[in-house]
Amino acid sequence: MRSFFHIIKYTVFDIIHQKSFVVLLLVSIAFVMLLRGCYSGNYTVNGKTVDGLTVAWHASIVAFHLVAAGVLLIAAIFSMNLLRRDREDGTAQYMLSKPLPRITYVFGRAIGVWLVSFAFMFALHLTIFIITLVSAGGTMPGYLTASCVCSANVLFMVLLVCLMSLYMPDFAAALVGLGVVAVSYAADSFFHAAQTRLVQAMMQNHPMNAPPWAMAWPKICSLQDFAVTLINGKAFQPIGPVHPGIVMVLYVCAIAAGLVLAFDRKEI
Amino acid sequence: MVTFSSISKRYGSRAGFAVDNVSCTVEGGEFFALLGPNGAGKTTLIRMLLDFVKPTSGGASINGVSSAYPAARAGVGYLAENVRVPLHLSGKGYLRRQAELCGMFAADANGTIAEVLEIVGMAGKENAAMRTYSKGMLQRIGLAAAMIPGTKLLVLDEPVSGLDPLGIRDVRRIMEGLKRKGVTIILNSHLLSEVEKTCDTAAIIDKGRIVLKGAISAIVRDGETLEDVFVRVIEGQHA
Repeated sequence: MRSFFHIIKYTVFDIIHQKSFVVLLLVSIAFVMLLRGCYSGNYTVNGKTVDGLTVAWHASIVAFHLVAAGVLLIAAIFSMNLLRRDREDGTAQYMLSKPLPRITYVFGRAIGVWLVSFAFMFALHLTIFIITLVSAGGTMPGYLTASCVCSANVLFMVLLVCLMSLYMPDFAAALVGLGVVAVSYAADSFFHAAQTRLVQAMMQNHPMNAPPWAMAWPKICSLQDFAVTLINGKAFQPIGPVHPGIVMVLYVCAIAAGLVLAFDRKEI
Repeated sequence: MVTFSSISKRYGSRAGFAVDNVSCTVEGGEFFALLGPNGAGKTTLIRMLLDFVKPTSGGASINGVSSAYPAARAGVGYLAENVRVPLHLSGKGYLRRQAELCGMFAADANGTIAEVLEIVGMAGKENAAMRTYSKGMLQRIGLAAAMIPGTKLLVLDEPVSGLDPLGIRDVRRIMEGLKRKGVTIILNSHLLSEVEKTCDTAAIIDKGRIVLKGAISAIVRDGETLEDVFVRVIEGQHA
């Protein structure tokens, strides 16, 4: 078990020493800082003046979604060359020539990337939380809990891209991961649009139900929507009978098992 | 003791065998050389011993434990043909990782690292980033890493590849020192003069099969060098 934690530690150290990490962090901080401008303006909607707290509330929810989705891209970037780079720079050989099970190595690496990505996301969400508190004077209970819920999506992305990178070039592996996310967002958005009164009124003769594949597809967007309900307190309406959190846990377990099996057969 | 039992490796069903039904034993404390032309299967054999490559059939064991189990690699050090290291780390940082992965605590690790750095002649240079190291220095750090902690079996794949004559002499001295300490060494090398000077036994591999194995003193006839034996055996195979 100590070796597992050592490998996580090495992974975190290796990633934060990459120039790309520093660049991504700086760009993300700049993006979040730009949000401050949204909180200080005067807004009028349909002729009514909207107070700063309401604007801050909505801006923070939008920012929550953007950060949660953006970190999936960052996780894909960190994961796509993780195992290949280890083979090329000798890291895999020096680690696995020691009495270390492959499962410890591969999970240690994946969990290390997940930790960095999650910390990245949590730090950005925490910054938004603090900006909202300072600029608009309102707290958003559940905001940081919601960030933790979205970490399951990040873990899913890391494991999926690591698994794909064993079979295809790095860039293609990242694209597969992002493709799964894109389909999830598209399917969920379509479902939510279909639930609006306007669409339901238009489609009275043709009720729209989510197709089976959409119910079985990884619920990345749905889990994010569920996380937002922890912030705004609204009722959550899942697609299909199973909660997206359970779907994502099942996916994570299945991909983790696939990663172990695939890596076990891989030449070092 | 290292044992290869009818071990074979085939890459794809249409390809020939990279290693073909090799059986061989290396006794504890022995300095054993694997010789053969390029593509003979030496590196594949070593990689199967370390479980980097899964054999198609047969197996290998270290001290009676199948090499498929991580426990078999306790006390095993490995130096790859082209030493590749994470260049952003310092030499000491790299060795510390090796020690930690072997289950050593910080206090023990510091002592062991200082000891192996002294053996390979890298004391005082360990804090520099490895991207600043020369090829010879990387080879020495790789050798130091292979010796952590208290290695009982050292597997060296072309350890003097790319080194200058002084570097080759230094590596030979290090290996001789380890041999005196009773470390079992498996050496894969093309430098037959070095092998002749240092090794106890040798096996010549060609096309994945062992074609000659024995004590150096027994396979090298009077008036011959190991190189002569190698050329005679390999040319005999290809004739």
